[in-house]
Amino acid sequence: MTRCLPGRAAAVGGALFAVLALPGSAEGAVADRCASGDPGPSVHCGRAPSAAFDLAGRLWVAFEQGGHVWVSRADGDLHEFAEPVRVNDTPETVEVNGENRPKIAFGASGEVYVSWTRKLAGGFNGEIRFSRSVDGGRGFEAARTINDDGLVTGHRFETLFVDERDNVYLTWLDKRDLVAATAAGEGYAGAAVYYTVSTDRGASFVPNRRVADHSCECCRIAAAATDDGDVALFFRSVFGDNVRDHGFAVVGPDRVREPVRRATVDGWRIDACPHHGPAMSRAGGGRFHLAWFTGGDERKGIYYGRYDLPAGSLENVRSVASSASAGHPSLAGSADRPVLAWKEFDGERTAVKAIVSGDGGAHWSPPRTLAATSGASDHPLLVEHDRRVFLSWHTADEGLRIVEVDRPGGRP
Amino acid sequence: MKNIVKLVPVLALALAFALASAAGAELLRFEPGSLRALEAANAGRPFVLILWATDCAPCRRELALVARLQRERPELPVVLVASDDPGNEAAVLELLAEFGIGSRNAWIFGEAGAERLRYAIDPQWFGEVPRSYLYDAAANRLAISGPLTEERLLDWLDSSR
Repeated sequence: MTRCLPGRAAAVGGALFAVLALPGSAEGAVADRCASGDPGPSVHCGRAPSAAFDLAGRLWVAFEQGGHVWVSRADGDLHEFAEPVRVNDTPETVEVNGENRPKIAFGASGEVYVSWTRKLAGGFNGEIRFSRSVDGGRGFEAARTINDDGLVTGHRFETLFVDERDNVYLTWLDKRDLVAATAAGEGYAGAAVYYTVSTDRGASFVPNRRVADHSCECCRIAAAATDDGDVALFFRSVFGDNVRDHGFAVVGPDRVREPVRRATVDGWRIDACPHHGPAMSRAGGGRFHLAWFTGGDERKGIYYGRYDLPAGSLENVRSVASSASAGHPSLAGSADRPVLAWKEFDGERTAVKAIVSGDGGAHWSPPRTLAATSGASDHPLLVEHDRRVFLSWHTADEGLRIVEVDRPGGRP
Repeated sequence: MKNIVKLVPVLALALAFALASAAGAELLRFEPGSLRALEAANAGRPFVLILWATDCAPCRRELALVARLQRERPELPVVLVASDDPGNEAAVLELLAEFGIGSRNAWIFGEAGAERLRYAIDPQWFGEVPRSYLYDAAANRLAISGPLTEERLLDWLDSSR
């Protein structure tokens, strides 16, 4: 059993794998501490932490604990987190699972943006919540509800994205059209993808806009910048008779730029919830690195492909992991040097594995194991800053681990 | 001796029920050994194992069918396992109550982690729900993803006799 020792770095096959664990952490220690009385808010005891680097290269983490969303910053050492700051003063029920979790992003002038889904009574109901800090994360404005239909229905699985022009995007799965169809006595497959955007650093948002009908109801949406500075969206959709493959669309600050087109054709016909959203990063030249999970007749497991937006075609498709227990891919890195990570259970342990491409996704390294755990674990998330890629992974036994995966000069 | 060995999982299951009621918890915790205990407890007769989750729209149709089965075919054991996080117990109970389903044979994934529990049930299962396993009297099982239909279930019951 490999144990991740604090501060231990090992050069594996030329790439750097620095493991920054909790100081003195031992298996179960975090779980025990977090289960004791009142452990206080922390990235380790909180639920569904999501990490991101700000423009200055400082790592921030947003997480839920006790009905509050909190943010905490790591300066320098990536395992030393400052006292968390509370985002919402009034506790609310926050969605905290791998697919649907608090998120954090940053504006060019130091704004800290946080979003989450508030769970409402009645099963699949929720609303999209947003708050920002304009004082460097010391205090947060009162949380706002972003969906503007006034309906108690599904508005969930939001994704937060800040583009290169400092516009703040929120996109989510929305059931208002299902409500309207039902009221008219008509059927409506799945949910819809909606979005809104703020062009004034999160002070206000434009009215909600529909991106696409008939998305899957329970899978996160992947977002990436286009070469033109717009935002590409990649999401599981419902095609025809319950085929749950993926759609691709582009949105801009003023309108939907490219209506949804089908991007993956695996023929996964299933009237069920995969709970399994895709991942995406920019590949340059109008192309995007995509990673997704499917259980179709044609393909099973995690796949990589490069989507050519102008041509509307998928190229370089390859199987990444075919075991039924492999899932939840994450993509990061530069256009020419993408990194793809996922998790996989081998009967004993859940491990996060990664592959790196040195040529824009044409060829990939063999998989390497970045971290493992014996207990329950969250989705693995890749985060990046200045061409360095890190894994952020929360596990019940070890808490939050930040692991360096790749950096310029490393070889796949 | 062989019979005693066979009894162990049954006793474990009985103990699980006893502990659950002693602790006042209304859902049983599904752990890596729970499937074997369920199979042993239902040995020699058909039963249906259904995996579902609160965050799954198609699962509601499955729950409606289960509620009907419990009324119309009380002799058929139906085991419901929610693949929810154990923290979702209240939501699971609420939904079962909404469909009028008793919590006597209802489980929720325990603390072992979703991957381990999924693997213990079926290494070939991707985790999508609803997912059903139809066990015949010889303990052969048929896996089905997506909601069961009453027709399919009744056909299977007839053929598994």
